[in-house]
Amino acid sequence: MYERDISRRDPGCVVFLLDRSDSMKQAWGNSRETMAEGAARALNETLLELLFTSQGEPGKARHYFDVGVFGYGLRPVGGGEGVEPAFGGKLAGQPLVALPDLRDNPIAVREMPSVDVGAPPSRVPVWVEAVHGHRTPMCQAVAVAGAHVYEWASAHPDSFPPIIINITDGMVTDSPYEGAGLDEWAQRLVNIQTSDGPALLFNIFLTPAGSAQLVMFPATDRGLPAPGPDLFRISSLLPPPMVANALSAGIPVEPGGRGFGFNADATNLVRFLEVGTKVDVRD
Amino acid sequence: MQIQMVTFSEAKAGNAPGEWQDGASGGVVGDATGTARFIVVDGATGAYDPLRWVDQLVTSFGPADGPRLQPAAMRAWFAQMQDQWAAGVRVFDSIIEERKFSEVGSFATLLAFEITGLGGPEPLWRAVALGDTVLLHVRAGRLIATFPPLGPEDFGTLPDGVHTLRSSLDRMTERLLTGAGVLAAGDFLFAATDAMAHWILRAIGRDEKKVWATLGNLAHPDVFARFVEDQRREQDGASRMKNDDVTLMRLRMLADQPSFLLACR
Amino acid sequence: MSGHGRPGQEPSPPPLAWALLVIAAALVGGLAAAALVHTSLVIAVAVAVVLGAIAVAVFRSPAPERPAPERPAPERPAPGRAGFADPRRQPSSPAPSRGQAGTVVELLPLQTPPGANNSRPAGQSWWDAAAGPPPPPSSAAQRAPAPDLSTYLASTFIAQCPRCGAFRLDARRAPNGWDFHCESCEYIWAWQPGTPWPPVRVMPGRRRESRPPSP
Repeated sequence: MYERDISRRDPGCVVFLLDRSDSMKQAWGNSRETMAEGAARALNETLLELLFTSQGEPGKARHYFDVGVFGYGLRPVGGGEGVEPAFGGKLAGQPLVALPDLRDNPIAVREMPSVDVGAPPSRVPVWVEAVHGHRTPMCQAVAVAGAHVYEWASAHPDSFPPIIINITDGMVTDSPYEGAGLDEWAQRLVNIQTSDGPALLFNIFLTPAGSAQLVMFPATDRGLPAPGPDLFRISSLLPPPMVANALSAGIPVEPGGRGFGFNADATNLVRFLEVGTKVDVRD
Repeated sequence: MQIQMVTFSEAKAGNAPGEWQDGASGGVVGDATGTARFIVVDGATGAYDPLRWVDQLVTSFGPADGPRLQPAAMRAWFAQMQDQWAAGVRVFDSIIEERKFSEVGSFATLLAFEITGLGGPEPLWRAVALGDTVLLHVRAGRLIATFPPLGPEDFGTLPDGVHTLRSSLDRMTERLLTGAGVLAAGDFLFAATDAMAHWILRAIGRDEKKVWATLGNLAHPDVFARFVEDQRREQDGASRMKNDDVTLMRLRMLADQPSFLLACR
Repeated sequence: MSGHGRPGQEPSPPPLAWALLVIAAALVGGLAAAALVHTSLVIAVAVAVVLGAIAVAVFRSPAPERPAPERPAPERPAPGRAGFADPRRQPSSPAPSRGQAGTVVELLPLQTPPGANNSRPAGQSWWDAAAGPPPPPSSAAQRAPAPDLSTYLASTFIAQCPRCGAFRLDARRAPNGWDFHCESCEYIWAWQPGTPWPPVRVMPGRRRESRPPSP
């Protein structure tokens, strides 16, 4: 299981569930960003990393992945509270987008100050904007995204299983949803399989508190306050390729470690996403 | 029976790929006709605008149209080609060019062939040729037919070919050669322009099995390019491939529908 | 054709063939040892590289050691072009950027993989549909001992662009077969297994890499 390489013949699927509830407006640790802004930035950076991996000949991105981002909470397009695809611009409304299409259709390219002192600003493409509002319909997010993940897996039975990463700062507010609680929705999601194994659901909890203790890829939920144990319970075991990613990034992983992070700040969100989305590409 | 077709080409060393003056085209006609048609031509460098002449010949001999492969129909097609060439609008930048167009014209060798009866157990190939572009029929690692029937000593002189000048029409018709053969599953047909054909006919005199194994297993254009380059650089003059445009069209008769599609990325 | 009977120049042979054979052999051994799932890719790369490379090596006669001739350094390709230097600026040099990382051969299985066209019955929720057993791997995804390399070519179509004859193609599975895009001339076409490959016209002049870079 989890042995298949990503290739153009058997591309991978990465789906992000992005909390857009009102609490995401809080400042994030000691940074000047809100959690919504920081999460959007981390997502855009992760998408850019995926595109770097997929860069073949100049001017082309190879179709190594189909990518989706589903925002839950405020729906900036549909209005009100709910779940909708979070891509904007020409990709607005699209649940899953092939990497070459992602490459060609950012919403904007913005200048961001470089992390290196004195270095010129870097130009960063943007696909997901930061928004926040309403509550946290996490079950509905799983339900909506799950339908698209299921169809994708049906069409790619030989691919590495889909990877779903849930980024949230709060407790689910819609459990039960259509008769099923969060645990059951999560189980439904990971019941989606390819011939290489079940879908992977990872969860990362963000905290506004700058001093909170970070937990990454734990094997138990011991000592975790709510909603840590709930999110830990629905997180998949980290498969060997991603354990290797974590170790090479200097993040220790206990045996039985799960794809779960708690009290992540912006930097560790990016590290978490890198670990969860790096799969061997062979083509 | 199905046809696995691949055509490799390399321009003369020192020329750009777009300056390749051979032409090649072919494939199965429609989905259910059981017929496939092919053409390979070799434009003469010293002629007037050989690229254009080659392009016209190949375009006019499409898989679904073009003449029947018998002398009368081919004569009519030659005449049509010459008329079409003469009627083409041109802007000459010098009197020299204008005179070359009208007095020298353009020229290319020709090999055109078709395969019929693909739906049956013994398809037939039928070919016409003018010049030294050659069709080689190989079965079980052995050459069983060469068309036109050229040997290694028959290359290097002025070959026959398709001229643009109407004055050459009778000679072309007289010199047109025809040939045919019966195909079996696993057979190869190689269509090669003169540099490659000449090399093959010399090489099989040294180790025939190796030649066909090599050419039969080529599947990547870069490997073909390296192969041609190496043969052009061969130290032994008797083995060396002439530095000229090279075309090798390979047809392999498959007994069944293929299980794979080989794609280069 | 060039002028018949006129000999060309005599460049010295490159020290390429043995290096190519060694690299190819290492490639085969390395691929066999690696836990690659796509055995068809192993075969494809081996067919393309090993057999051809062995052949070219065998057909070269041994050459005495000669200093390599002076050659201009390969030019960097112009932006937007697919990595091919203008050959007119590199006469008689070994193929510089072709065949390097990014150009591989792949055997695409033509059987519809199990479950590829599975859509859940109308009215069934995705989670009920997902509750069944996992799909079996298709024959292309299963691990098996590699058969004799030459047998694959006996059951293969070789894809070339119908419009220009280029080999480098982008292939995507479509509901009824495959969609192709030629990376050299941008031609797009569809093909269904069970039908003949479309007629091919070899026209290097139509390919992007054959055109001179824009100033």
